[in-house]
Amino acid sequence: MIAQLGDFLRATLDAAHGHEHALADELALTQGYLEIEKARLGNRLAVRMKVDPGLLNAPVPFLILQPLVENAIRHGLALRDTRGALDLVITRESARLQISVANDLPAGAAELEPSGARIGIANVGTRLERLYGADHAFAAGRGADGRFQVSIALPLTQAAPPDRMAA
Amino acid sequence: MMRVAVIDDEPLARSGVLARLRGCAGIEVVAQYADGGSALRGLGADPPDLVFLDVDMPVMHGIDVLAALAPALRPLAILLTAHEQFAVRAFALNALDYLLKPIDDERFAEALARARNAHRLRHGGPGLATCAPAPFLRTFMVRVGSRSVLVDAGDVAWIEADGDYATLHAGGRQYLVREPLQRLAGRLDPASFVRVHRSAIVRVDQVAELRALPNRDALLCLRDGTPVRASRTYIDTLTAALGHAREA
Repeated sequence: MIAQLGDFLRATLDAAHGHEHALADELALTQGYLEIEKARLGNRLAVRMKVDPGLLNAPVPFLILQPLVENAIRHGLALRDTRGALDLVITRESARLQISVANDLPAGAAELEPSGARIGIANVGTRLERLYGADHAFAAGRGADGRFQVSIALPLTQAAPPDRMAA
Repeated sequence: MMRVAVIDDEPLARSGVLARLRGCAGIEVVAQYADGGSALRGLGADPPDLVFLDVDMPVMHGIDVLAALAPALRPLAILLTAHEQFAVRAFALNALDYLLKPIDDERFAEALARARNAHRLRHGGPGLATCAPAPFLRTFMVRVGSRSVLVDAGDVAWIEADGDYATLHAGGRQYLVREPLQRLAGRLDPASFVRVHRSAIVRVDQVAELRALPNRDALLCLRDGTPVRASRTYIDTLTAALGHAREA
């Protein structure tokens, strides 16, 4: 556990702090963070991640996923007394990189989320606005399925080079 | 019997290593040193077989201690550090392994096993213990509700640590196995399954993409789209297995 925390801190401190880094780096960092949360929540936290082929080199904002994932856990999954799922899905849609973070909520969750959750989400929105101006989409809220979902669409600036392994 | 010295300027760090060694058979701690200078004198006078050596000590760095010893007197060395930048120089001095602080128990055990093998080789004994290997696991017995179900190893895409248990990911479903990942790792056919992280084992033919990260770890993407981290400790084994898989 302490070693995991060390890994995560090292990753956030060592990174060359540009605005963007590769999706692969962001995913590794997010998984490091999730490992700590898994140690804390154990069986109550189920994580499902899916990434479309050929996206690992795509540039994404540094630490864009971690606050969304933390938000999903703190204000959603950690408040449940039964197992809940966090879904992180990253797809390519024409020239867009589509990121979706969805999580189960506690039974009978109130309509209005705590203000802390709103601040975290709003910060991500502000950052995207600064980085991409009008060239992005950002939405957060409860879906028709009752889960909380954050959707982001970013310009896929770099045609990801084919680094698929020949099988 | 392997004679061991522990060198670290921080008393707490030394006692952490000593506590981990206490339970290990065949290990005799013969000395502790709190600075590079006294370590150099002590190691020169009475060379141990193995040192646990802190890199970041004041005045004389751990690596300078190794470099100052004549190559013939240099003990096997496992370096302790909170940073990783020194690695190239350390390996030029034949350091066996390095452990990042805070020390992970499982990595500590691996480093010590590496030292035991190197020690045996140095003294002309047989390398790895040569006992007949148990057959590899072909199926997993898992519980689904109140039933027991057999999952074929060939259907498993990857295995994830889940506390003291492990989760099999097979055909889009997940199954809990009541066995720690570390023990499973030793029971699976290494031609098909490779440990890539302290928390993950992957089936080699499921690896679709591999991308190196700046810290020399890597991120894998499996055929089903699942991203899995691979730590640098396991990368060589993984790339070797991927190479074999492609030749086959």
